[in-house]
Amino acid sequence: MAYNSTPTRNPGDLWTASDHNQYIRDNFAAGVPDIFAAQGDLAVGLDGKAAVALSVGAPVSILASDPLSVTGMMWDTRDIVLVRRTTSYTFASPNGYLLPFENLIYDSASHWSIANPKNINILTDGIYLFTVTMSLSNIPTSDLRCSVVVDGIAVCTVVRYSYPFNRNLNLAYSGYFTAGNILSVEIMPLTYGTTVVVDANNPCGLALIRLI
Amino acid sequence: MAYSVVPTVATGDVWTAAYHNTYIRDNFAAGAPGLFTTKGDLVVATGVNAAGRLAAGPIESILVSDPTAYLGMKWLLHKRAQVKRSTDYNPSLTTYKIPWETENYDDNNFWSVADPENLVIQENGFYLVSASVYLDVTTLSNSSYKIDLFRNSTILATEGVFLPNISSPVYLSLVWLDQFLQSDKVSLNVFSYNNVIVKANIATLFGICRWM
Repeated sequence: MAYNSTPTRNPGDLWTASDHNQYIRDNFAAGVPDIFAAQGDLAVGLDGKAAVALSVGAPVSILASDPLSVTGMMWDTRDIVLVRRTTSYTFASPNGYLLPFENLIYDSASHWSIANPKNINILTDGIYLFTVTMSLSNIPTSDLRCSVVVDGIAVCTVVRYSYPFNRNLNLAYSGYFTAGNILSVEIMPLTYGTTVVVDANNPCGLALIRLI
Repeated sequence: MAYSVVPTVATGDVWTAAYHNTYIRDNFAAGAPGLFTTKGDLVVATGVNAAGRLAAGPIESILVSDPTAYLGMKWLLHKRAQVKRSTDYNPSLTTYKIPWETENYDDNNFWSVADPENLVIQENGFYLVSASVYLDVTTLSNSSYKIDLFRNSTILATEGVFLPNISSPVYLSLVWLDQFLQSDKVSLNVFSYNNVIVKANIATLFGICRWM
């Protein structure tokens, strides 16, 4: 029902059945709580004197403005992914290797699957923060490079120089990504013939969240 | 007051006082602004044709969906804490958890002097943890230096370097996002083969902030 501004009446004026239906019945039907259909609905203005119910968003979403939507706002689900390795992973140079993750700790949508364990799929445009951690061993003769790559291009890299101990690394980066981007972690020993072990006795994982 | 859908009337129908109380008085009370009591109140559906009042959250809080909440949503504050050393710390062991001494800020009782090594999670959620440590190397020898982020007895993230035979200061920093549960204890472990001192400095900090 559309809302109709209620007219002014003076003493002696009639209040007809039609007036009742238009200004009482229909106006209540156009407002709160009559427009509500389910728990979590919010009343939002459409334009002058018109309201609509905005359904509550999925878990882990926040209310944000969105001029492109009908109501001017939306529930924005925060993309969050936590993946880890729990067994060691060995590979040899000279190529860069994309690290396959094994265990999904949390995924707010379908960003990762065991069928495609090296890739984190970006589903929504936005600014993301991601962090990576791992410990690498058995690489006595080589420097080592670890990069976060987006669609095959490194966007953030750290280097650990050759020495005979485990090399622990933590990497954090924030950047704008678009839906369809594929994010991976690449490890590359810089000396031919080197064997690299991602050590499962230490933490190995990737965490990602969309900030806005 | 419960909301009742206003009936259609026709010419000649009687509109009684009871109708007025049910369909006019009670319906105004069951909607906006009848439900409002305080600046910042929002009206949110509790079900079909039913509304409730959601009070504004604390300053800097954001509106998030929460299927377990009465109204399907809640105000979420990015609760945060940061602690530091105010004096140098000279551990006797090569592996130790840093006991923190002073809060820079803490709005959710994450830290207490009675439990100086731990930031204790008060609410389930996703938290961003950051650590920065300034180590003064007191002996000359080859050594690796690392910091490990713990949740209870589990290492979540690690960062380290190897430095050959130097006495220069060592700076390590780490950022990690993870899902924590109420009562989880978050701590920072330092490891070195060398004798080191954790310096009381602006580069020795341990912080946490809730994101979702």
